[in-house]
Amino acid sequence: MEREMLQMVDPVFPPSVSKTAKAPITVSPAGLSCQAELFLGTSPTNKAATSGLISFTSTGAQQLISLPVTMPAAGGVAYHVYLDVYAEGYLLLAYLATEDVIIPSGSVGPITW
Amino acid sequence: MPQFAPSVQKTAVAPITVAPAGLNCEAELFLGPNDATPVVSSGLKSFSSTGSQQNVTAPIVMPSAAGTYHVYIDLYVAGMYLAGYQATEDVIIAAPALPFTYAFACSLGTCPSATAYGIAQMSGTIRNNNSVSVSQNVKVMWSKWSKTYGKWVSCAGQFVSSREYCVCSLSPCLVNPFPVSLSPGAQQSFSYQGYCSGVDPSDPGWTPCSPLLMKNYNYYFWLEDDAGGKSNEVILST
Repeated sequence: MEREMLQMVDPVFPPSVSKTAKAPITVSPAGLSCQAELFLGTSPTNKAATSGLISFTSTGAQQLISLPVTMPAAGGVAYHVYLDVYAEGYLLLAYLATEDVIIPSGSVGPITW
Repeated sequence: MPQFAPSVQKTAVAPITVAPAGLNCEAELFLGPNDATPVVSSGLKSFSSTGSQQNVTAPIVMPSAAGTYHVYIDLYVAGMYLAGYQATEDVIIAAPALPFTYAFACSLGTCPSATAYGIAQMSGTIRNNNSVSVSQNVKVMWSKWSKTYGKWVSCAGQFVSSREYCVCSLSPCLVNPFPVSLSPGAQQSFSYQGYCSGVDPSDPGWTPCSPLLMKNYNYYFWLEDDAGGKSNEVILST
């Protein structure tokens, strides 16, 4: 399945902070057992941080699904953001956000006066 | 460990690396006893990350109070706190050993509770003519010359051939030396009537005189500090 592009804003976070992404997800028909996973990584197979599988039941209408993620500790990296949606155990949707999440890194050397 | 005078302006240069490039960053350098109590701060200094090390300058006015201060740098990226650092070396703010200037007067009085003895009634002003705040211990000093024997009296009370410069005990009326802290240009009055009252709780009328001045001596009184500041000497002849 080819990934679709997904709009996203606010791409810079400090390392290791907990953030909750809210994804408006629509799965039809109603009543299906669904799961969503948001993860950050440099590729779909290299997950640096993940919400894990978050369960919900489809309603046939848009639902705002909360996906808590602890940002990667490794900074200085722009991570791609992926969202996979499963229905009844099958991968239904696979998204790639249009903007990366940037986890900055910083260091300070010896101060001179 | 870097050491600076109080209230001087210095510029810290911090080699800061933030990656990736192109992020709006801010750094704040501050000094304090802990990272929650900044005493002085550079304020937020903006820069754009390059992904490699860049020297960020942070001008800061040193604390006015002497002491040892930790040095902290907080980094913010895109308005969010990224990390806080503490420098391995503290900054020492050293109180300058600068002298006060004095105006000193002293006159001979009579001890109210022992009228055979004299007392030294002192007054004057202590002034900080320096451009920075100064804290010093100020001492009431004396030397004693026996007119009867033509000899100096040592601080321990022995007749000696050369003059000794002694800290005068004003106990129990005053602690001597006494601390004085003055901002630039400020002055403080000094006054001591030679005795005090009610020091002994069992006898509220008790008036200890300190020091007691015996007859037939020349007493030299003056004020001085550890930085070489010294008042004029006043001689009381009994």
